[in-house]
Amino acid sequence: MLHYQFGTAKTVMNKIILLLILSLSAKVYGQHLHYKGSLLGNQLIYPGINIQAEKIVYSKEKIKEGKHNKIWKKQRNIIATIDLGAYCHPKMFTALINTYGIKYQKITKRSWFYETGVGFGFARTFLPETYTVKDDGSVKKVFLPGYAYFTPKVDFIWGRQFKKPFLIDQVFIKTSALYLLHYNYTNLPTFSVEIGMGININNLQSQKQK
Amino acid sequence: MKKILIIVLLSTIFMGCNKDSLDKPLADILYVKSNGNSMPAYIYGNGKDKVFMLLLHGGPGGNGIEYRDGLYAELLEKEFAVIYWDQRGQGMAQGKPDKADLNIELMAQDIEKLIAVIRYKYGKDSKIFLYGHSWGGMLGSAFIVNKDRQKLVSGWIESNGAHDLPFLNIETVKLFITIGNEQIAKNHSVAQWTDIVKWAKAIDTNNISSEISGELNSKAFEVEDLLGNDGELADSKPSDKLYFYSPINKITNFITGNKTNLLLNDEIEKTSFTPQIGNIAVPCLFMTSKFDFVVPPALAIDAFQRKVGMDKELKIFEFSGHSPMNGEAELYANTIINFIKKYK
Repeated sequence: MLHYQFGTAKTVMNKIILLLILSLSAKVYGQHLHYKGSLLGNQLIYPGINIQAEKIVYSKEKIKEGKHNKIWKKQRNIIATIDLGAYCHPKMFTALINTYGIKYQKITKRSWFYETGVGFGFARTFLPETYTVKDDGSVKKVFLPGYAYFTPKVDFIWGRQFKKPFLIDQVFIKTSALYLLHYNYTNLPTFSVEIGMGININNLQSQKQK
Repeated sequence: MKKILIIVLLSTIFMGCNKDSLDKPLADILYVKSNGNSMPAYIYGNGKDKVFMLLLHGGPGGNGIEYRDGLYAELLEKEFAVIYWDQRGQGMAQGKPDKADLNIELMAQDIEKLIAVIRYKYGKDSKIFLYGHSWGGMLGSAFIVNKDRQKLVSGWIESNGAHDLPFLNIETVKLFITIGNEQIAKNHSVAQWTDIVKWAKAIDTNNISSEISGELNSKAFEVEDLLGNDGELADSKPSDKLYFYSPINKITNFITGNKTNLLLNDEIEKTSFTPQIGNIAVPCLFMTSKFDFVVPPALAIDAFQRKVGMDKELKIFEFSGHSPMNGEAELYANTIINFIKKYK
């Protein structure tokens, strides 16, 4: 039992770390990734953080010239996302969440944007001091106690893009519904609200070049 | 980025680390992993004498920590340590248990494992008194009627405990009629009690279905409001615990607890430990309330009479409904404290 627990935890953690490193190092291979960092409240009150790497996979743009030669731009994007987040339920457990998704983004001519996304991934909980009792009655402390859950999700995001190319190029509010499948004897919906900002490393590099 | 990840991981790993000392009041949380579920035990109070009261909450669908509320809990924790435990599939228990395995016997085995963990952590000489309220009375009975298991505890405290559902349903119907007529005679909420008595008289007590059982349970909680309004019950102070400070996530507790309740319901409706009460060889304290329609006093009185030996006590709270720990907190706590002091 102890060996099984160790193996499961180690495998899941290794996968999460590997995926994170891959997602964050993707730029090395010439991909143009955009990052989002946010503070989240799971069920509103349990604090956490989330990092999202996103890449536009399809884009449609409408440009109109308005009064005084002002250019209005409307954009529709399909974006692939990878999220890595964590939240803490004080004293009870900490959860690491890694999800993959696709979202539809609509950017208005005034640079407000709305996004709707779906995805799936895994959540791994980490419990504090946990013991198990073997068949012979001996008690053992469990190493890295907790469980991995498959987690489909739905996201709704509202935000504002900054027109000037700074490192921080947007702010947003995100609400997510995440299902932990096979949690106890049922499936558990959890809700999160995030407040965050977009980070565009390309903007930083172009600023440096200037 | 890697540094942040390492910090998150390390803080997770070391989160549960604390020094075990019994000299200062205990405030520990530990989980017991058993058959696909990890169940938290919240341990608070005076651990100096290594005397623990292991509390089995009601429901199914409740949680342990909701019982750590008010004067009675304060008084108990001054005298000894109380283990507020979230049972399998309820409260903040989590994991991936198999539905097919869920039954009362498995949950009784969970208690056995929790006791083993408590002795491992706090010492083999720890004395444990098992306490069950409402559904906790049925679960505790499943544990205590087993002759091998009962050796693990120093005593059994059953408060308003539902150790026999078929018997309970019949007695609830009788109580609605008896107390109903008394209340009508006292001119208390006459219209409501007349309807309740009429409804109760129409129930065939030889054939109570699970639907009727559910109705009886709902009505039992409703009439406590009537009795409270008519001054029959002692004022019970509602919980002042804020959502933000509770270790229980109320949404999780509601969703998972209700599911566990549904899965156990058929078994509970048929379960009766009355014939096995004679097996109990440890000291017993049976507590009940005059106005408890959820678990009528007849169950505690019957269990008291069936328990063999002199090491037994019966306490009936005269001004309470299903939760005498709220209305008659001081008397309730002192009844438990005196019993534990006598038999520890």
